[in-house]
Amino acid sequence: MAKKAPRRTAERILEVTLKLFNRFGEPNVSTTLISSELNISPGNLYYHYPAKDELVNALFARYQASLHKLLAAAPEVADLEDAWFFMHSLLEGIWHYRFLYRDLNDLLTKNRKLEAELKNMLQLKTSAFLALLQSLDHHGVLAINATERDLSATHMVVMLTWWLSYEYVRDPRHAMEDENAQQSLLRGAQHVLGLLWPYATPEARAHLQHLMRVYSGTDGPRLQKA
Amino acid sequence: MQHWQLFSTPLHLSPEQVRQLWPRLHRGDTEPCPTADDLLEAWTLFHRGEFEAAVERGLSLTAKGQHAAWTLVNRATAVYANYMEPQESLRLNLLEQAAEQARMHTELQPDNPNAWYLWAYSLGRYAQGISVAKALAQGMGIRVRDALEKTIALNPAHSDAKFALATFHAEVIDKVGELIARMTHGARKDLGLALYAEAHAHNPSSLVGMLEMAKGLVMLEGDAQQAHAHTLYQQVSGAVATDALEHLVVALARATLSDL
Repeated sequence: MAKKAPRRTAERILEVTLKLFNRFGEPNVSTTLISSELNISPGNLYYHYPAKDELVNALFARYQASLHKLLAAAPEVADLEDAWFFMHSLLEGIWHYRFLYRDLNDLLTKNRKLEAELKNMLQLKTSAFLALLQSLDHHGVLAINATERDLSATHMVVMLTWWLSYEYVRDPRHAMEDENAQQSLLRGAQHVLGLLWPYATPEARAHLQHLMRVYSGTDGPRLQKA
Repeated sequence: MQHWQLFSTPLHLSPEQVRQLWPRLHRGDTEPCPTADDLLEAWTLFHRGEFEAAVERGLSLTAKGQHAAWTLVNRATAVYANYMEPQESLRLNLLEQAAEQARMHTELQPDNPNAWYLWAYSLGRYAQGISVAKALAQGMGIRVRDALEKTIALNPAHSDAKFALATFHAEVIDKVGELIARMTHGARKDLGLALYAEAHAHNPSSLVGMLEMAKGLVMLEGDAQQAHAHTLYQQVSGAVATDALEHLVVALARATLSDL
């Protein structure tokens, strides 16, 4: 719409910046590269985003907003299909904003907003996973007590949040390229879901094994029957 | 030392043409047209877009004790940094340098409104460059606001300072929220809006002012101001630029509109 002109430029800058950050890592992307990639003058870039930190903050705010929406759905996860979908969607969000995790230490050191907000984000994720586990327990999918829920929620958050870092280390040259996204996310969702295995009720366990096999695209993990 | 980027098409302006255009070009900052030829020649370099040469010439004049030339030196440095320097670190260094020189200028000529204005301008752009939230935490907000208020107190007709002070209100509110902005930095939405209106009424042909106002109004009032902002971009992009800075500003407005 014609009336949205200023927003449109700002939007285009954000889209290209996200692509560059994801591809090369935030510390390796200069404002010079961003303006030349967009073919705009430095003045034009500074007009919309006077600081590189503002770009990081704007992208982070978007990630945060999308994550909040998704996490709010955690208490409604009633079966394993929902749970799988939930994990996969969370991983997709992380993939979309993977620059945040790729150079996390660097970003945490120099950006106050991230320093303050990322730990809240972990806390929110943990609460959401607790709600998810409680709901699955309530629906007879899991038999899990409060202590086990606390432990599992943390395990799931850690694995989910740093899954892509694990993939990256295993194959630094290719893991962060778009064509590898699907497989990475599937593997991640499968392993996070696998953490539910010890607590799954017998019927759920068969379902879980089936799901993991389907989504892994192979014979699936060799899980031992308890 | 690495040379500054060159303005794409330096303008062919003579000192005499600059003298004639002066009232229009300096309506916003009310800088008096130099009576000395050497200072007018240095300003001519600035208006042509030869920013590095303008700074060099200006510094040769300040070295001879012409304190008024600091206005030119600092303006050329800040404008170049803000519109043309592609490297973020160099840009920030230049803004910091301009701010420090302008602060010294306020000591040399405490009654010169443009010494105060350029201190605020350079420091404000520097603050934006390191991120407004970080700058506020370091106490830069108060210094920028005080220097702009001082400029206006010395010269109530300084519309550039009014546009800038309005932008100060808009930026602070946009970054920390209306409540904290009012409580800790004295920034208020109604003041920002009133200052933009006042500055625009006083200097309706200021292209830089319109561009700042387009962005600031959206920061202050969101979507309700999109249509107004769009009209301002159209006005700027349709304007005939007379000097290098206006060329840069018109190009920026056109680029923004071409993103439709």
